[in-house]
Amino acid sequence: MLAIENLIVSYGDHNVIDGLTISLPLKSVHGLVGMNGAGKTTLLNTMVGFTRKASGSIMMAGASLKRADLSFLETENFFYSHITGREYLGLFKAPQGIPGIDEWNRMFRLPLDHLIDNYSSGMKRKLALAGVLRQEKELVILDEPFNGLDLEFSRLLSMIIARLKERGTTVIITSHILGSLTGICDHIHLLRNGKIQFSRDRDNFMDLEKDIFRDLDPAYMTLVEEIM
Amino acid sequence: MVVHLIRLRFIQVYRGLANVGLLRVVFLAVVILPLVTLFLVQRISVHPWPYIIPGSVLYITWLVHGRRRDYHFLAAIFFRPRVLFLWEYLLFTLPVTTLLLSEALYIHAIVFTAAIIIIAFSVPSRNLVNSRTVKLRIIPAGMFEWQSGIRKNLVVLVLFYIPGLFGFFHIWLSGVSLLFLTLFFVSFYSEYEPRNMLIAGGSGSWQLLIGKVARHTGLFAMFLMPIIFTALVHEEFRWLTAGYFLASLNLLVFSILLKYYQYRPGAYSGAHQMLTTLACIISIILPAALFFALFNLFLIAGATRNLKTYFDAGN
Repeated sequence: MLAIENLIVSYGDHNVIDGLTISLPLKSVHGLVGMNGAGKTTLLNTMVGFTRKASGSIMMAGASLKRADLSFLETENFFYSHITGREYLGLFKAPQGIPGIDEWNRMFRLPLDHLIDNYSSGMKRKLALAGVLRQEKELVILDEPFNGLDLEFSRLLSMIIARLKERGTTVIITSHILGSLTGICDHIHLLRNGKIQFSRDRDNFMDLEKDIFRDLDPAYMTLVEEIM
Repeated sequence: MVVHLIRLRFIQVYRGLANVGLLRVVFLAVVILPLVTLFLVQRISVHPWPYIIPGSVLYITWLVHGRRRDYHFLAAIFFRPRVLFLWEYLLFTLPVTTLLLSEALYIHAIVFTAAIIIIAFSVPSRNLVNSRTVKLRIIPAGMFEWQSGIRKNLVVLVLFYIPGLFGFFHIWLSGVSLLFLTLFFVSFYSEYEPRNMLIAGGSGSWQLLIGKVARHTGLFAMFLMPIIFTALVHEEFRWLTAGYFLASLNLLVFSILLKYYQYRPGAYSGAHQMLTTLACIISIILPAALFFALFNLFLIAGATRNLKTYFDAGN
């Protein structure tokens, strides 16, 4: 289990993650949904160790979660200027048995000998994914991985995630697009105001959309209608 | 891993130079580099340069370190990014360390290296703006560089501004305060706004430049005024004070124009950071400040031309 208990993360006086508790079964794919500002990215950053928690614990298989146990795709990726895709991928240490960069790139079809500065935003996203997935960690965290990807590669990414699960990797994905998660996730969790509002298993995805949007503030909807 | 990353750094510099253009690289290598080296070698043993030169290099390193965007990236793929930072900084500041050692300034060299280690092992914070937000309503909404820069450096700014107000006790207090405040304010322009912010005002490239230079320089002059008034108490330094005041304003103009001369949407320029800092240091020799005043005329034409590309991009 990946167990998060009583997690509190604050920015100033505001608790972005407010006493969050959840147990995520390992070797499965978890989707994390929520409105903007719900705390999705903060939760992931805290798991990775980029954001300091005020209190609580994050344990994987009984031990405290370490950065070395996971690979992480950020919402916004960093790329050094004036380097090629091949040089970038060379930064990611791949374990024994992982194909070489060229063979690995057959999946991603990137012009590896071109400078990254000349890549489109979708190509950059693919490159970042190629690096993250090459590390083959037990836990893979992908923050909005479908952003900027073309339809073909979105489908391919879904297949890659399914293969990761088959190999026993635990995957956590966030997305604003619910449809992109229902096809690949075993569990979907709704995060609201820094807490898990509910979790659904694959068998109960039918009414997921209705449940998520049921609690939207009606006054806010009226306001939008008035202004627009 | 460290070796691989350092090698990548050199590749970046090499490819970056290729973009600068052959003539400019030759000019840099044949004229500027020997002149700067000569200047450093001559000055390093003359008081107060053994403090100013390493201090300025530390200041640049600290600024560059604080604005690093690769910390999280490296932390995610490489478990000791700060060790890498240390190697990088030690390597790139090696000329200064060598210079200090060659002049037998051993204590300076040790303190300098210790400071580099401290900088390298501090965490560059991405969330600094969130955690230290202050109310800055006095600054006009369009001056986002100031709002962002002051938020990030508020404590240090106050630390250097207050001694400046006591300049009537000793002219050095005014001098140091003026130098560091100028260094801070020119550093605000190293991060470039996205294109939509650039064109949001609806004016042309020339109007944007002139308007910005006038507004920012005017407010900077008002901001420095209390320090200048206290420094003017020292009658024998009156002309010098006026000269340095104008040099500070000129450096701010230089920084704004340099920003738009090499503007690329949403980018951060380490080169801008280094060039403006270098300009500040060189302007300590007051006649050299005139060079930057003349250089601004060249920059304004280049900056207008560069901005026009982005203003016309949608047409």
